[in-house]
Parts: sequence; C-alpha cells; structure tokens
Amino acid sequence: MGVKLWPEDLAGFTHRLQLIWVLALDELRRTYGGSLLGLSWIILKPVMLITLYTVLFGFVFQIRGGADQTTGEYILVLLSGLLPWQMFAEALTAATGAISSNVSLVTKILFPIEILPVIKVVSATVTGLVSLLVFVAVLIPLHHLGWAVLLLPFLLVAQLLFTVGLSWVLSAFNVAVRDTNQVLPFALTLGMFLSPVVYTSVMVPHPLAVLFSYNPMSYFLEGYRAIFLTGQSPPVDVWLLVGGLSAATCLSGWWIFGRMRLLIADYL
Amino acid sequence: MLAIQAKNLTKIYRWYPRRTDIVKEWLTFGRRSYHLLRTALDDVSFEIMKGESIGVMGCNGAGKSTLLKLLAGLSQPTSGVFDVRGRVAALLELGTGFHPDYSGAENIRVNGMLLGLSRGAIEQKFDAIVDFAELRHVIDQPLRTYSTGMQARLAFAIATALEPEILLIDEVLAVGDASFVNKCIQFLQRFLNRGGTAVLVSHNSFLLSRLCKRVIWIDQGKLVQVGEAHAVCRAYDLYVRQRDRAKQNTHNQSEGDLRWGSGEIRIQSTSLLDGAEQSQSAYVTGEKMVVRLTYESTRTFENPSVYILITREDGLLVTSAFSGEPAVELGNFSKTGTVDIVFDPLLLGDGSYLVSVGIFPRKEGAESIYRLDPYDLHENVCEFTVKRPDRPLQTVCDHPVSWSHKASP
Repeated sequence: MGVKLWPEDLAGFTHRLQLIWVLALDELRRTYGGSLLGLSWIILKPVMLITLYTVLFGFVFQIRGGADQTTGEYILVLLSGLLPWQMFAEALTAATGAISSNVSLVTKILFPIEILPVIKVVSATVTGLVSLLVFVAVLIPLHHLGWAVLLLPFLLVAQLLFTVGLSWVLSAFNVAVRDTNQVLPFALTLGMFLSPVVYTSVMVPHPLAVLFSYNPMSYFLEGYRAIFLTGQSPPVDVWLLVGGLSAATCLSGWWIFGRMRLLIADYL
Repeated sequence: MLAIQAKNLTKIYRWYPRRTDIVKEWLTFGRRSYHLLRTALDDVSFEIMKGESIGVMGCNGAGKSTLLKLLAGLSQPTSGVFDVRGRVAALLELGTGFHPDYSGAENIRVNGMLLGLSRGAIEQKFDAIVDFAELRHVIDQPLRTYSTGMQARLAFAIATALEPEILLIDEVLAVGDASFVNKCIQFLQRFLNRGGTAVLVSHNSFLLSRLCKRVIWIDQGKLVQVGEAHAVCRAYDLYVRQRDRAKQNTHNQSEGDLRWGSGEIRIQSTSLLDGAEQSQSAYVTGEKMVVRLTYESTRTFENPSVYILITREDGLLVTSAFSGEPAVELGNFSKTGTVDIVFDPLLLGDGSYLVSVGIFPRKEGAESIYRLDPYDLHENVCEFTVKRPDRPLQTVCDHPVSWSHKASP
C-alpha cells in the first residue's frame, strides 16, 4: 500500500528533522519579516516584558509573595514561572491550527503532516528559549545561578516533548471541531491560574494547592523555579514526574495522531 | 511489467451535513450515526504497465481526483486494493506551499523540501530547475511579482526535479500559456520515452488523446470505459454533447447566453448539408460541406454581413469567415431567405467541431467590432465531426500541399 505512516528509515527521519528546522526558522522569518526591527523582536519582546513586570510589580504595586520575601524576589519568582508558561502557551496556540490552516499541504502533496504542529512548537520554543536566555542574563549579576543551569536543556527537551504530544492531539482535533482553537486561550488562562505561575506556594490556600498538583505544567514550573532561583537541581521526584509526563504525552499524542491522520485528509 | 494495479477500488466519504454532527456521533461513541455516505469511487479496477501513459476522463465530480488521491496515498480506499510500484510524484495542484514574499530561489529551496527533496539534492538540481522554468532573470525577485504562468512554470520545474518513476497529474496543464503547456507536453513525452509511467487527469480529450495511449473514463465513480485513447475520448465527447443537448432542451433559458442580438434579422434555422444537399453531421476530409441559414427580416436591410465561426470542441478557433471582409455582395435581406456558406473541399482534420453563425449590420473594419451589435448571433448552434479518410491524425487541418524534388546532378 502506498501510505507510509511514519518514517520508514533513517533518511526519512533526518529529512523530517531538516524540514522541521528549516520550516520553523521560516515561520520566525514570516512572523517578524514585515516589521522594521525584524528578528531583533525575538530579544526585544522578553526584554520589554521583564522591564514591564519589574516596573509594575517592583515600583507600582510592590507585591510580596510572603512576609519574608522582598518585592524583587517576587518578581524573579513570577518571571521564572511566567516565561516557561508563555513558551508553552504560545506553542500550543500556534500548533492547534497547524493542520487546519494548511489544507493544501495535507490534501495536495505527499507531505509528512505530523511535522506541521511540531514546526509551530519548535519555532515558539526558539522564541521562548531566547527569552529564557535573556532572563538568565538578568540572573547572572544577581548571583542566583548555580551549576544547575546546565540542567535547563533537559527540562526544555521534556517540555518540548510534552507540548508536541499535546499539539498532535489538539491540531488533529481542531480539524473536526474548529472550536478547539477558540476554547484554547481560555483553557490556557485557566491553566495558568491553576499552576504556580503568578502565586508562590505561600500565597495559595491549601485546597487550591491540591488543584495545582493535578496540573502537569506545575511540575515543569517547579523544575524551572528550582534551577533559576535556588541554583539547585530540582528534586528527583520532579524529574521523574516531568520525564514520565512528557514521554507519556508524546507517545500517546503520536498514537492518537496516527489514528486520526487517515481521517484528516478526508475531512478537510 | 505492471506499474499500477488497482482492484475494486471504492471510496466512500462520510459527509456530515452540519458541523455539530461529527461531535454528536462521537458523544454516542458511534452507536448512532449522523453522517451520510457519498460514494466517490465505486468498484474501479485497472492495470497500468510501466512506461505507459493513461488518461483519466470524466465530468466534474466523477471521481477522477479521488482516484488520483488514492493512488498518491493521500487518502485511503474504503475497500479494494491497489499497488503502486515506483517512486511517485503527484501534481494535484501547482504551487502548493509557495510563499508570495519569498524569491523564486527561496521558494525552490523550501518547496523542494516540502515535496521531499533533501537540501543537497535541491542545490544540485537548482540550476536545472531554474533553466527549465526559464526564470533565471527574475529568480531573486519575490514570487508575488511573477505572473500566474511564471508561477506554474516554477512549480512544474520543481516537480520535474523529483525524478519520479510514476507521475500523477491532475488538470494542472490547464494553467499557463501555450508555450508552457507545450513545454510540459515535451517533458512528458521525454519522460514516457525514458520508461516513466504517467496518469493524467483532464477534461481535454484532445490533450489526452495526444499524450496517452489508453484512457479511463469514469462517471459518478464508476468505470465506464477503458481503452484506446481516441476511441474513449470520442465516446466521452459524444456523451457530453448529448447530455448537454438534453439539458438545453429542458432549460430553454440557457439559450440566452449563446444567442443575442437586436432581432431585426433573425436566424430561423441553421443546417449542415453535404454535397447532395442531404442533412449531414459527419464528414470526411475533402468532402463538400454547406452551412445553410434561413432568416426572417423585419424590414429591408442592404447587404448585411453574414458571419460564421468554426471552433474545435476544445475551444480552439479553427476558422471564421465574414461576408463583410473582403466585401461580398449578398444583396438585400427582406422578409425571408436562405444563405449558403460553402466549404468545398472541407480541409479540416479529425475532430468534433462547433459552428457559430451571425448576421451583422454592414460595416467596414475589423471583425471584433461587428461582434458588438449583431442582428442575431447564435453561438455553437450546430456541430459536426470530421474524419480523415485514411490514418487518424489530430491536426486541425489537412492543408493541401504540392511536392517537388530535384535530384542533384
């Protein structure tokens, strides 16, 4: 039979990786291509964001996470959760429409459509990575960084796999039910408030903290916090949860996408 | 050796009348169905040999594109099996994945990758692609500055770089200018000579009979006929014509599109006659053909101009004649009368032809001016076929030639 679901050999696999990389860079060029400052926006955006939060929370509201926490510390806590969360949310939002907005690639040419959501996730990850690097640059003079920053790539790869797995399910689902794309921003906002992004553990009443533990992203955020703020590796149970979650999500997303894939071309 | 083998291919699409229907079905876990079934392809079997080119004909919605999508692996058959042996390139649409803001060169690189070429292979074939597309002078300009024909050339050139063994082409030759189409045809002929296999979908029976040895005709998902290209094309054309005529008889208002004019002189009838004044619709090249008009005039008109246009069924303008240039004296038209337009001998080659006739006010000048204010202009009023007496030849005319030969001393 003519249909090959997944890469049949190593050459097919490397070609897909090449494609993902080329098209993800392409995506970035298209996003910023028309603007005056071009690709420098990738750096400018996190710089502006960090500045904004510092001014807003540091000088205007002067929020503190607890009695023993300074406002400056709160800002670092906030950003160390917010930046990875934004990377996740932007990747998922972009990837959900990846199949339904590329009808001709799906129905007109032999194209490995499973990489379409991955491309979106990768390009959002590149943007997110730059903002994390900007954040790291801010942390260096504050002496918050330790050797644990070398563990960051592992956490990022885990988050990438987790996001890719989810994006496979959502992008395929969005072909049949376009409302997915409408509901998603709301779901993501809810998800943000149900994870320790804006609050610290001290600010949260106990019943809500239980809800946090059901949100898979909480564990990723906990990992980032440990690396950025304590300079230590996250505890082993966080690593295990994060690794397990990402592997499970990625594999089941792959499986679900494979099942739905044959229906996608007929439905579009 | 077989290149493509299809057995009892059937494709039934699920059609959900409303967007919510698919969700309802999911919520009942498929226990209740909310979809209708639409059969796009119904039990189609055929075999294509390596090195053969096959045409697929049929009306809109007959299932041609579905068939091609199945063979390309873009969709799965509901039942039946098929086997495609060889590297396949499917041209179902020209320019899929092109980006208007990118230059031609960047589009070659991105599009080549989308179609499955590696980066190395693209660099290797880059020059050949640019040369085939004849776009070297504009290759660094953004694609949006290209004309449609230029974009089609670029897309086709990239597809040729895939070096497929089996080419599936869906109606894409319809775009682009004549020289592009010719170039594609030349490429296809070379491709076939090298042992490539091609499946071409088209409405254009003339193109198919030129490029294909055999043609598959499908209608409403069912295989109607497979066989020698000329025979199947002719059968298909005849079928379409008859169907259109049946449609026209039931919808008389459609006549308005094909006929207009002030009505001061009205063409009552148009008939085709042979040399013996007998009604005729099939001619042999070299015979005499007479087109006879009868008209009814509301008053007396001094030497109006009579017009005839013959087109081949694929739209090619074959010949036209106009009694106004050079001026022919037909005399006055009043009340009723007949006009004979005589073709003797008829020089046309094999094919089906359509006749349009009109009567215009007398004027001097270019033909197009007259077409603006006819008394009566009736397009495609009748049709006839021509067959060459000996070998079949798809040229539009059988021009008489004289021969001479001088042996060198």
